Amino acid sequence: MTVSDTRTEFKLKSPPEDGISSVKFGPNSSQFLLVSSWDNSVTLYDIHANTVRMKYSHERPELPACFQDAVHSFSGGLDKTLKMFDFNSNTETIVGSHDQAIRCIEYSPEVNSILTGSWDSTVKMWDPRTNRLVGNYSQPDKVYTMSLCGEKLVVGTAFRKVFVWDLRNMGYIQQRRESSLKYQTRCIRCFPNKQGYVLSSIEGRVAVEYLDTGAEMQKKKYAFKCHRIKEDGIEKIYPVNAISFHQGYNTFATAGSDGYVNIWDSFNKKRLCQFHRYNTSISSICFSQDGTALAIACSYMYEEETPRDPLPENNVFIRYVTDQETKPK
Amino acid sequence: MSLPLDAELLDLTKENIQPLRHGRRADQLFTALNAELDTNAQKKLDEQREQFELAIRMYEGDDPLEPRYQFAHWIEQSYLKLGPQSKLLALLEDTINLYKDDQRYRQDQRFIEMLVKFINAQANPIELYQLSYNQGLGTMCAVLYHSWADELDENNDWRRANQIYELGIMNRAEPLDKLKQAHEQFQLSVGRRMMNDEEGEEEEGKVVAPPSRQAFSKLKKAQVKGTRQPHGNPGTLKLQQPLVSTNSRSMAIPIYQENTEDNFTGGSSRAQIDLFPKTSVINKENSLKAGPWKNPHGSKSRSSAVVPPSTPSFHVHQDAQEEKKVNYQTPIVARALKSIRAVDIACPVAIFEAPDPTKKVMYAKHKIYVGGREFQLEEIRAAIYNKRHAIETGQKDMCEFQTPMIHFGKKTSASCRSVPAATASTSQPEPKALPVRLFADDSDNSDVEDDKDSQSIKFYRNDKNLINDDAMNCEVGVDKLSSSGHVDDLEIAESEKSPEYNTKVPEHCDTTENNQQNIVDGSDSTVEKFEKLSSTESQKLQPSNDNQNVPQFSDSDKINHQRRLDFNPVHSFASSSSIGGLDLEKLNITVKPDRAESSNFDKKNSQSCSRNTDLKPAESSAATSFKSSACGVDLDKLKTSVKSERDGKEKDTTLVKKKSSSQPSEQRPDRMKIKKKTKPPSGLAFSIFTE
Repeated sequence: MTVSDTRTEFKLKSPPEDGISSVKFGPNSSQFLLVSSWDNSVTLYDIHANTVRMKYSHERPELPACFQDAVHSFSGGLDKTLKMFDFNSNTETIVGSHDQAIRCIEYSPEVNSILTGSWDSTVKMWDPRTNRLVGNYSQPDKVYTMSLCGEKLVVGTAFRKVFVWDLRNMGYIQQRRESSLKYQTRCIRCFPNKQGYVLSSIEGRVAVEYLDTGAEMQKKKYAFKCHRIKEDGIEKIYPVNAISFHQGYNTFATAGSDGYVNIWDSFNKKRLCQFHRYNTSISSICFSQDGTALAIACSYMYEEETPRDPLPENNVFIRYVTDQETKPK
Repeated sequence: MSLPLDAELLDLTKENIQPLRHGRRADQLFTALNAELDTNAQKKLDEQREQFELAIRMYEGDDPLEPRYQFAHWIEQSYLKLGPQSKLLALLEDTINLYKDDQRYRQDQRFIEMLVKFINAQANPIELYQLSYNQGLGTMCAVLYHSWADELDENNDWRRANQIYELGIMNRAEPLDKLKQAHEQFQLSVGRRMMNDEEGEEEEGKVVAPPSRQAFSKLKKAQVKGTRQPHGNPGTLKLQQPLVSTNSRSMAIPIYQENTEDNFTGGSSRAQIDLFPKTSVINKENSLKAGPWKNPHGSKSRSSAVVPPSTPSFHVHQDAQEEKKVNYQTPIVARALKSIRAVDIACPVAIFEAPDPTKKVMYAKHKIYVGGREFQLEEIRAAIYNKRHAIETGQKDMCEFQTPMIHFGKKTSASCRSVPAATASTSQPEPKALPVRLFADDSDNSDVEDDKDSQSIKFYRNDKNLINDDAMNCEVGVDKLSSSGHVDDLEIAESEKSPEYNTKVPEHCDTTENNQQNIVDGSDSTVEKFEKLSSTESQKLQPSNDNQNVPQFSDSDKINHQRRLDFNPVHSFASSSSIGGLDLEKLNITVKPDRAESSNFDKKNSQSCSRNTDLKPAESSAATSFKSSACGVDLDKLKTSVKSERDGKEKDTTLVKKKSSSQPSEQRPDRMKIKKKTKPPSGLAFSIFTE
């Protein structure tokens, strides 16, 4: 850990003991970070003070978590139940459950509802005020990733399928698409300007696609290779695990199992910067709402044939990014 | 599982149950039957399936084949039709590709069983058996020889089947006594079939009058004697999609020719490179996307519906309003319904690229993709976690997936196919193909009938424990896939801007040149390797080469023979076309088939002889006795139109109709005879003889 504690980057104290499944910044400030982990816990960190604010746990490893607002979080995981936690009253409520593990959770401020996607091939919509199930929308395959684009919900499933739903009319699937990448979908995130989404695959590629189905817009979509390392004439190709958008500039960061984080300018098709290499795979990243901080979760993901011995330690890094690194040139 | 098997349910659906060599377990059959009708049961089955798939991915131990073997067994038992949704083939294919170079499994009974299952589902099983033998896969396993010989036996290539048995016994394939038993049984059955055949022929000669045909009636498809149905058991279908199995039908006659040269160079060495090629590669036409039609003829005809190809010199009155109306209506309807249509898109699980030594994927790819399904990294991790958790807490319900396997060994034995009774009439004795001693044993024919079941060979093994609970580190399997990188050549919608982009993004560099070179190098080395292999091992099978041709051409010879004898042109044409499955009623009207065919050729060959269709015999022979290579006109079209007698005949007959009606009496049809010889691989050569 030579580079870890500099002025622009520091490591969170008392990180989770097992793999980190997701990191999410709070909706209003860059002070609070929600970290969910395979050690069954969901932890709320105070970034400014570098302390743990709150911690609660599930019965099973926790896959995703998300903020509804500054004081409410939702989380779910292998125990198949969706939990709401109130930070003010320090109480947890079980909202509902899926048939299989919950893979992703999103909060939509547009329709004020929580959306959960699961390996049981459904997306469920919950009302956070009453904690009731609003709708159960079956997907043709297991849900792997999900992202909101205003009122559009983009769902990435097994078999490289991408479905676009409209939250205002969940009666039918608005668009059915095949991923333009050749291998399994790892992550989908939507542009803050709501024009499209970025999709990453398990084999070192990222695609930029647009929601507008018009021929002209579709012409603009593209894909590029990344997160590959050349060593001794052999190109090593890593999974691209996470994507996060800078809310102001529409640039995005990608993180892969190679331990690198890259920031891309999708419109000029440029890479803006690359951070130093972290000691292990990066499982999740998140820009803060104001775009000044980037949370980077480093934890081994068992992607290799034989797990490393000893297992690399799990860490969350907070990196303060500059405009130079994130603003399109 | 304790529910009794519903006999009625079984009765209603038994036609849809694919028979298995080793039978089906009653309880498993019951759940499978229920799953067909009940969505809940189906869901349970799916869950069970997922547990099996996860078990493959989570396996920790030194026998990674075991969970796959169990899974294949389970699929066979649980999917009644064994159709594409069972994904059995994908699993087998996957397993074979993964372990075919693994020294542990090259002679493993279970592996070879899976290999045999896979080969039997292919269109060209005999070639594949030969290939796997050449590669030394399963050369010590009796199953391979037995199934191979069975396949040959089904093609009535008794001599080779016998040789295969002898080869297996010579190689001391295990279990040897079973193989010997199967060999004896085979010999008995062949002898019995020969005997029955002779009797049958005698009877036929007495009772059946020379075939008489009735005019204006449909003829049955000609009974080609000497060829048993390609798949002996009634109701047994190959595990194949229907599209492909039609191919396998046309392969019923073995075209396998192994000249010494062929075996060592060209043909088979190429096959060595893609031994057991992915079905996606074989059937790539099925997955090709529809694009604009580039055939100028087709596009012309299509566009002509909308825009006239050229402006005529005169003006055609057009009703402007009407045209507008047409243009107005169609697109709106199409677009309005487009988004609502609830059609699920079908995506391949992944678009796999050819392995590339310069690239290495940094994740356990063969764990993600097994048997046509995919799992997320997290799913596998979750399954491992759940298992560990279950062990720690001793929870029973979470342990479920650890023991979903069925104990196949006890009840159902994997007995090999029993020798079929001599029912099929085989009128083509191959005296030179069979050793005489076969007939000596034939006196006790009835005994064989009785002992059929008890003699059938049983290959099975008791299953082991699938999961080793103690070892928790997941050092699964052999690293085959991850060592082979993958070519990346996909750049989507990057047509104009890509070079510019390349310069800007450093990682976006172009490596295709290197890759190609490497691919070429790689293949060369494999070719060499194969040549070594084949030269040492495949010579044992040489003697039977020429014999392959006998059944192949016998059919066409017969047809020719018939044609020469039959003086009535209607008959001669009828006999040939009935083989092609043509409706003869049409032809009876046109009456002049020989004449018609010649005029047909003439039309095709219109540059070498004049448009004038009334041929004098000499002229016609000159015009049509071309070799396919010498004809420059529409050779391909001609080839296809004549080669595929079955498909293309209708086109031809329409031509026939036109021609013969325009020149009804210019030539006596019986003055010409057409001799036709079909030679599948190389196309056709025609010659017309005049008397």
